[in-house]
Order: sequence, then structure tokens, then C-alpha cells
Amino acid sequence: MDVSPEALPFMAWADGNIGGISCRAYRISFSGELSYEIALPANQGLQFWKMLIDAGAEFGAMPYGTECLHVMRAEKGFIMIGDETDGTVIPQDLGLSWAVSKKKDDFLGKRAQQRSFMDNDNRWQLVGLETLDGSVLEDGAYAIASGKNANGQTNTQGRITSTYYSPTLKKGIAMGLVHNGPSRVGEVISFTKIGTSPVEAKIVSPIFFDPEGEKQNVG
Amino acid sequence: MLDSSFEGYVKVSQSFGQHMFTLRATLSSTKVKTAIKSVLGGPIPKRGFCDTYAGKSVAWMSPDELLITVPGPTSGSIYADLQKALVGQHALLSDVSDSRAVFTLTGTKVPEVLAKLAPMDFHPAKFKVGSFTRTRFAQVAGAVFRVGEDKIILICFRSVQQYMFSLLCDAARQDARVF
Repeated sequence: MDVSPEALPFMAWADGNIGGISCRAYRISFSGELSYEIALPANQGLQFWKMLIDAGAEFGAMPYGTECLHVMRAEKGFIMIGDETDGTVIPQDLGLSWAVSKKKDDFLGKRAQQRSFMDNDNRWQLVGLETLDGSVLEDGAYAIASGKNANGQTNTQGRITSTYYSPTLKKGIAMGLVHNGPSRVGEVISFTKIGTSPVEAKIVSPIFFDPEGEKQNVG
Repeated sequence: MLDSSFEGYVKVSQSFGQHMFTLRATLSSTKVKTAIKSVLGGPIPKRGFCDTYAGKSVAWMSPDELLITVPGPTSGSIYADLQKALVGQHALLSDVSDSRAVFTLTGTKVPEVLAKLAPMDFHPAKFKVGSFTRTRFAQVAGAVFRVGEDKIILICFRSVQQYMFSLLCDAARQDARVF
């Protein structure tokens, strides 16, 4: 089947036949690379897998697992529902305001998003974070703010939602939600580290690699 | 694919070669009824039944769903004919052969063996020849079709086929008779 960018552009799918097996190919990417997801009858799965491994051998193709995929998507700043989000996070916190209609009279969730504490820039929002020493921040670490709250606890101004060592960039990379984060790019803030002193990290764009998205358009 | 066959006090064997389609559509629609009849050779079965027309079976799954089972070699053309007959209808036809596993149980004690696993009445007075029912077997969903007094076909998801086969073999062991 024709899987060229013209016949099957990014985010398109088509039914076809690959290696004699009927399939549905989706040109989608969670790794940020040129990537296809191929659905086919389960009974032919192993046969297709073996053909892929054989055909890919000359290009050094190899299988990789979801842990690797997670690192790759974090390098691209692709959010993960359940990591970058929980029940308190709204699209506007993740730079997704563009995806929320301002024209529709109503939709599920519209009223909630109009409440004063939602329709508000004064929230923790998605940013990338890079430690000054290249180390990997702790998952779930809090960004420390000055002063204490009414309960005598240290104030916080954000938290880490995803954090990995990037073998491509040779340093720790992280995403987190930081108070007014996107307007504070370049600022250095401190994150907690259990059992030792806080770690300094610079607020950066959450896209660490291939910011123009050229790699997924190769071909 | 498993090569599963077991001889206990009933015989359990996995069947291959049949293809299965799911059809979602408004079954009360005259146009849908006509399409089914023209391609499969008979009317839509009543709730709780599976009707067979020259090797092609049509099972009532829900008010808007049928499970169609056809012999493998002719499945391609039957699928194409169904698609064609349903053009213009609000209908969804999908080949689900590879998402299902089929087991055939034969022997006079088949109802007893299945009664150990499923919360339904397999007595021939209640579950007659030609009956088709969706139920569950221990922890998984399944459906049963009474082909004959002593023969029941069981369908489950492919992903639980090994579990289902183990369940059936255990319930059919020679030393596991109840009556």
C-alpha cells in the first residue's frame, strides 16, 4: 500500500494490504518520530511481526518498549493523561486553550471552565524543567515558594509531573505544573529532594527535542 | 492458535474455520430485515435464538446487534454482499473472526458441565435446540448456542480462550460428575 506523505499524511489512516495481510494503517506518532500504527487480524499478528523484523533488519530496526516510548514523548513535550493531568488540571493549564471553543454556546464542561478559579491565569501551568546540574528531578517533587502557609507548611509553587534521564540529550528532563509557568521561562526555581537539599531547575519550553516536529514528517 | 481438544465426561474441542461478523443496525427496520434475508437466506431470529440457513447462522445479540457466522471459504463474498445490501442504512458491519474463540461441547451431560460455570438454566425445556444466549462463565463473558440436544457451541473472546478452555476441561473431568 502507498504510505507516502501524499497518500497517507500525518494523522491520516487508510485500509490496505501489507505483506499480503489486510490491515489498517494509521500515521500517528507518540514518539515524535515518523511512525505508523498498524491494526491487523490477531491470528496473523506473529507472522506480520516476523516479516517486519526481517524487512527492518537492513535498517537496524528493533522493537522498543513503553518505557522508552515514555522518554521519547517527554523529550517532545507530549503530555500523558494521568501524568500531566489529574482531576484538578484543565486544558488551559496545558497550553491547550486553542482546543477549547470560544464560539460554541455550550458544551460539556463549559460552565466549570468559566468558574472564577478556572478562568484565571493565576494557576499552575505546564512547563519544561532542566536542572542546572543535569541531574534528574524526583517524580512528584514540589517547587518551593517563599514563606509558610496558615498551617506552618512551606509554600509551594508547582510540582513535577514527568521526569526522566534523556539518553538523547544526555541530561535530566522534566515536565511540571508551575505557578504562571509559561510566563516565567528562564527563571530558576528550587525543587524538593527527599533527604537532601533542594535542586535548582530552570523553567524552559516543555519541548526538548525537534521543536518544529520535522521528524514525524520525514518521508 | 490452540489445538485444543479434551475428552472428559463430555467432549470439549476448539473449532476453527468459521468466520464471524458483527452487525449493528436497527433490527426492526424493514430494509435491514430485507438485506439480511436476501444475503443470508432467512429472517432475523427472535430474541434468544440463533437460526441457521444453509450453513450460515444468525444469532440475536441485542435489539440492535446480530452475530453472523459463515463458513470460512465463502466469508469474503458474503461479507461483501452484506455490505452492498446495507448501503444507505445506518449500520455497522465488522469481521470479528479474529477476536473470538469457539468451542464445541458434545455429550449427554453438556448441560451439567456448563451449569457449573454459568448462571443460567441449561435444561432442554428452558434452553431449547436453536436457543442462543449471552451469559458469563466464571470470570469471563461468553455466549452459548444449542445446536442439538447433546451439542452446545460456546463463544468467547480470543483473549480469554486459554482460560475458557481450562475452565471447560476442569468442569468436564471424569471425576467431576455431579449426577
